[in-house]
Amino acid sequence: MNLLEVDGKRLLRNAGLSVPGGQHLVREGETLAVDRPVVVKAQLPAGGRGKVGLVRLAEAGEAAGAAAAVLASLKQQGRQPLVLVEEQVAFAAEHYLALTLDDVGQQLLLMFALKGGVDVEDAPDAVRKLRLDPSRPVHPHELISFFREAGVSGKALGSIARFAAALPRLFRENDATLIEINPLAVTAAGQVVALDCKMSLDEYASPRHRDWQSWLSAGFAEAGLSELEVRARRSGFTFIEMEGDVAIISGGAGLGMMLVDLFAESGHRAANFCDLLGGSGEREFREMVDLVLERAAKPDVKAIAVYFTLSATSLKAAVMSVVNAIRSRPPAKPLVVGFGAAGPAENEMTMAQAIETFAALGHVCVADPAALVAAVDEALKNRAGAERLAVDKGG
Amino acid sequence: MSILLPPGARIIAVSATGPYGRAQIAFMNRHGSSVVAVVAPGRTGLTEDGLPYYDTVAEAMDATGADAAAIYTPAGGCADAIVECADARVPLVLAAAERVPVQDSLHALPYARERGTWVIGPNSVGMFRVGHALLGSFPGEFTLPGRTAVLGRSGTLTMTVARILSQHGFGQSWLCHIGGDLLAGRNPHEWLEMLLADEDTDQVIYCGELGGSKEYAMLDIVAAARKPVLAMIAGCHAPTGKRMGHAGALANARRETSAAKATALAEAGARIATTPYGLVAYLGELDVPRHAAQPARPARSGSTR
Repeated sequence: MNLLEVDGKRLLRNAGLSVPGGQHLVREGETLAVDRPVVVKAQLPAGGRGKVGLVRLAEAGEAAGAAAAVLASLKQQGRQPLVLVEEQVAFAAEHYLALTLDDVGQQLLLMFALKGGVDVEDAPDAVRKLRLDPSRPVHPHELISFFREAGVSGKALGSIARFAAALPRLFRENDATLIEINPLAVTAAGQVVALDCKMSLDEYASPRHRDWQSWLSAGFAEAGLSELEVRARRSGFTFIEMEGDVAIISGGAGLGMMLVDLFAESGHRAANFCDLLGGSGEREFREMVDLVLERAAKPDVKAIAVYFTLSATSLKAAVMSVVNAIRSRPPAKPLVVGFGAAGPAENEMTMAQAIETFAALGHVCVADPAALVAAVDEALKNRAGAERLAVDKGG
Repeated sequence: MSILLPPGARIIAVSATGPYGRAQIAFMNRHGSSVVAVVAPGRTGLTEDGLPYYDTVAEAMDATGADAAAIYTPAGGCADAIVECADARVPLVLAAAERVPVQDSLHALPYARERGTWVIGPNSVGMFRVGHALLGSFPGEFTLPGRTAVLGRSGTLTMTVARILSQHGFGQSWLCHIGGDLLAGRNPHEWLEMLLADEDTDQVIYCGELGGSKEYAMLDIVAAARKPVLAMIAGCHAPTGKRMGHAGALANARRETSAAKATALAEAGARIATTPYGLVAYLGELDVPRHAAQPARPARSGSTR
């Protein structure tokens, strides 16, 4: 779950870390009265807000108007209208500070850039990295040389080291995968304040964080998803909608990606990617198939490809699931089916029988992913030919 | 390599008490391994289908001296089971569960590593010493004995690649599924190093995917390899910024895309294919011996009409 700034800053504040004061959340139609200069920030789980006018500085008297303007822009963009208003902080320097995971070293990775406030992706060389042992607490003095070598000096050196040393515990206790403070401001007095906070939490840890679902951020988890993607998310499987002409029903992340690549190489484009969780049953399978068939009903999709590599699942069960799904929702477009099955998977039904079963329903069934792509290609060519013929006859 | 999974490996099945676990036990027994004990607290002294039960992994290890453990504990307890296996000095451990919290892995995986335990997964199908021993659930029917090792980040893709190789007559020495999570017990470069040193293996195929930076740690080993390394990185045509099923399959930065990783591996000397059929073509160019007999049921190619 990607947190809204307001939730991230709440976690920082609860950990004793400094964030700007005077926070107000403003929704549509709500009034705002402040007595000092503020910054008005759209709340959405995505970066780059400043570049598109969704962060504004305002004097006290203009704050309500600025908040209303940002709310209006959000609404216009089809986003949930919510803004965070907080006091402006006068600062002497802005840095970049982040904590994430080193997936190879299996450690925490502390990142710092002297020049913050910008997109560090654009200047990767400016980012310094320090690996931290996740099994022990981090103390500020252990970070002093890291920040000193990065160019920090004066009173800020201690403040930044203390701030950074508090992050690993915050990271662990909240099951975070990323905490990014950009910018981390340093005041003239050498105090640090987190002016922004981007945080990602590990959804796999949600069973031990029952409260997450009541956070503001949870209401934004579906922001930017298509209607079908939202339904898939609620049903508990992966579905990603793409621009393409072949809708795909498959299982397994790697196999699904391979199919997307195979179709791309053959001159077609996958209209979606989907994947079921291990241990999913017939209900989840049907929901996924129904969703892909809905995707396939849209005009840009010309054909449907089904492919599963079966290790433990019985071929008969897989065939019947597909047959039942397409019987109850007959696709109006060519559908080609494929299974990789061998050994015990064929105990109840052989591949030859599966091919016969689908042939009886008017669908091609193949054993190999390349054959699947070829059969889809041929079906589309035949269909295009038939359409041309119909047009010729009509003309 | 033989220290990892010996032929006829003797395996402890942890939490394999339901129908799924029992099916996995039968699967491993059918493919050359021998499951020798089940661990489930509260059941010590029980015997089911001739298998003794133990309360702890340590007790099962003491009694059996097993070569490996397969953990079927659900996600919330998976990391605890990895730690328990490491404490019991199990040399090789498969963690099958999906959705293990990454903080749990961040604790358990280095813990196991420090104790010399080699962890496969989490979120893994396991490893298969083709024809000799299985830890996990690779279907042996997709394989042929041979001298090409297949190493993958995805279970279904590793299986599919093995099956396509077999259909073209190219056998395999090992199938290894690293695991689909952000953190894996052992990184691809550690697996690659071991497979390259294996005397039963002449070349290694690596099937990666977008997301993470694990492939960059492989470059030095690829460059120094005296055996061919072939690679395929799935997700070349995936949309940006989307998580493609696996927890680890999300390209956060340019260097995490399939294309960037494939380019880096190619520069280090790996042969890059974009599909399994490209891998087959490379094996042909390398004059890898083919089985004359195809598997029982050959693939259909092209149209069925």
